[in-house]
Amino acid sequence: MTDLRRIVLQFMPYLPFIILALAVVVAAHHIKVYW
Amino acid sequence: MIVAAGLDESFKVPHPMLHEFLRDQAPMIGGVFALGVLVCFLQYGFLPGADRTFPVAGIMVPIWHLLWLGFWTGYTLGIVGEASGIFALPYMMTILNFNGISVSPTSLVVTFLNPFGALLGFRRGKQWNLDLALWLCVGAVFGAPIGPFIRVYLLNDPVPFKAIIGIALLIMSIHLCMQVTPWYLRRTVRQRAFKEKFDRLVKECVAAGKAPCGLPPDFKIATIERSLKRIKIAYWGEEQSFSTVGMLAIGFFVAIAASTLGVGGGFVLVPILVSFYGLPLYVLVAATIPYVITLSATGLIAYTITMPMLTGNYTPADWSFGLFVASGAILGAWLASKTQKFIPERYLKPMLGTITGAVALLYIINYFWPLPFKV
Repeated sequence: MTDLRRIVLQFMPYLPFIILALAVVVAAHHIKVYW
Repeated sequence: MIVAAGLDESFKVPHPMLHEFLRDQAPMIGGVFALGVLVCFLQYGFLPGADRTFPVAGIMVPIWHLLWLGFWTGYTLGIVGEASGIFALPYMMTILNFNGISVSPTSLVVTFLNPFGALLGFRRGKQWNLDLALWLCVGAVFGAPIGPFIRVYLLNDPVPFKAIIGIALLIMSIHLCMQVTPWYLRRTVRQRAFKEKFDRLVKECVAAGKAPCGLPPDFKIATIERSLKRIKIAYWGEEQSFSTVGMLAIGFFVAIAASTLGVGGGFVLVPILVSFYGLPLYVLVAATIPYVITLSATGLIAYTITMPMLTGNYTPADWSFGLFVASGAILGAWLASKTQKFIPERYLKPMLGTITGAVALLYIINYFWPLPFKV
């Protein structure tokens, strides 16, 4: 449990960057499919 | 040894964050989503999505994409202390191709619901003071009904409308990038003092083996003086007074701009409160959250009731579309409020600022010199 918690805490700072990158990928996919 | 014992102990009790999520957030997220589905069937008689057009919005988009849109805008803007509207609106227009006037009231549905999740958390955490929010909200009630008229009569074409959004995004971009400059950090003495206290407490909590907790358990924003002339508040050893006329005027003008676009108003209100009044982020949410809710509700009423009654010009919101986006946004904003203290602002803010600035420039340039691609 303690290890899991440490991994989650270490991963946190990158979360916004991952989410932003995903948003860009999804947006590009949407434009390709629906426009 | 002490750390290990502390961690074990904190896992014996049911996890407080999970408990909070199940008690406050999950019912709200599920409820808003279910309401969206219900509205679809009542209003349209079918569930729009990837293969059927949303009738009011006039676009085809899978529902998961709307949840995702709400989630990522709610999360990224929650981290910098604003509501999702200012990112969701350009995304809805440029990526999802929702270019009608209805995009503004639809976005207001999102900004109305988005802050409720955070509101519960901040209220429990005593980051709450209605005296501070009151005069801003009164300004919003008078200002927000004016915006829809500007939108429908003067800004109904998507290209100039996007140019105005571009200006709003530019303001936000400059503020985001400015916040990490040494000049700005030197100027904002009060915020820095607050941040130092906050960081010290986080360190102490971690050293004691508990989850990081930046604010003391007895934290609260108290009203010291309340009159028609000014409001004086105190928080964590700091005192600050506000002129009610000033707050009223800010609330009024921000509300006109925000309801014209169809956003919550955080994009100008937060920079004003941070730069001119020097409020720390953890305190200013007490003012901005009730403000955004009041502004969005008043703006929505103006778009859907006042406008058609006075002019016969009806610009409905796509309620189900807004509700789907909002259910994602509530989750995103909650996650942001819980993870904010782990995020390195020094990298995030300039990066968000750059992206926002690039979109802003595209919108503004497209107004003067049409670009070879669609924005």
